[in-house]
Amino acid sequence: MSNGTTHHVLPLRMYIGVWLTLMLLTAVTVWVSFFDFGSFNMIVAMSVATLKATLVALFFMHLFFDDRFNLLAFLGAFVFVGLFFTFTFIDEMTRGQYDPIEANFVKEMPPSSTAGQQGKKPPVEGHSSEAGGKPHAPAAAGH
Amino acid sequence: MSNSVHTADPHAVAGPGHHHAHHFQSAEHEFQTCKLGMWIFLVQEILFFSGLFLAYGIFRWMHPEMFFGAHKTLDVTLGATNTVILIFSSLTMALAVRAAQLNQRGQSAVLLVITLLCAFGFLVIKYFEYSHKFHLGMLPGRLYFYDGLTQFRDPHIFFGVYFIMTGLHGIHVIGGIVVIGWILRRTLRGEFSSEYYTPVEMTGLYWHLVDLIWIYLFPLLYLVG
Repeated sequence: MSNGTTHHVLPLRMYIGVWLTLMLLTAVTVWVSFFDFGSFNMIVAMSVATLKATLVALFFMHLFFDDRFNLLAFLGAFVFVGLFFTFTFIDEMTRGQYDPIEANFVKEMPPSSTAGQQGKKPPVEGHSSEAGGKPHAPAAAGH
Repeated sequence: MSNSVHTADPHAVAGPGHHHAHHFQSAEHEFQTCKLGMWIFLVQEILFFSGLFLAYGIFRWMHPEMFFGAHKTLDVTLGATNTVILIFSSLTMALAVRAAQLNQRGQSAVLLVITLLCAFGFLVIKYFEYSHKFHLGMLPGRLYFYDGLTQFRDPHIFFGVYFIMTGLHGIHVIGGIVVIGWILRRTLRGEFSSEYYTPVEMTGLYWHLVDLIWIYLFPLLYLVG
């Protein structure tokens, strides 16, 4: 028998304790959702979820006790997720500020769509002459 | 047994039927390398799902009232039940790994079976949720024919996001069932021990990640919309 020194067998009560905390946080997040904090709803929900995710990663996935390089890899993922979100949101939120948006929506649902109207779908862009009649040239053209 | 060849090296003793590959210095080296590889895979999974979380974020930003209205059609009780089931299965998975570390093969197998039952329970609840929505026509894109939610524009977008996110997560649960089943079979065949339980550990990491993703999906879809 030679357990490598890095193979911690963690005490049972740690697992149970983490699990009970996760259950408590699940109850909290459901309970909190019955109240309206306006724009803080999302912040509260995401904070609780992140706390739960941290507990799972550190204790169930052993990152707290593991080679720190694994933790670095895990946290590195969120750096790139952050970049991905930041730049895509900057793009989305500033569209139309400098040049008008000339694109057509791919598909629009009629505001009063009902079950009976299934056959009457609005034309999909690219297949209709209307969409063809309004060519959406790149906004930058001619500038 | 060829085990005796390795007795000079305290790290080299492997479980029955397993010897570390020749390009590793020791069983410990092999274990740590496997684990890093698994973490790289999990990082890829996070980035893979992040595209869908981003789509959720952008559509929610574009249609905040519609998202709020449409998310009310989801059943919080079923979502919360599934959350409890998945977190419990994460516990049993972690304890199955622990039992494998302690050479408690029978206990490890029982815990893996409980994990599997939880995974099936999760899918059964998901099936009832999906079939209810299929029936009412809360479907993605042009398949949508639900006659409620008429005060909102484009509610089909919410259901597109809902089905793709929970569907991809569900596929991961099915994948988990396959892998846990395979690990259970190998446990019952006595292939793991306190000296060699690498596949059990890696499966555990994967299963915890599936739980981790659901921890975010549940509040985003069921609670705040």
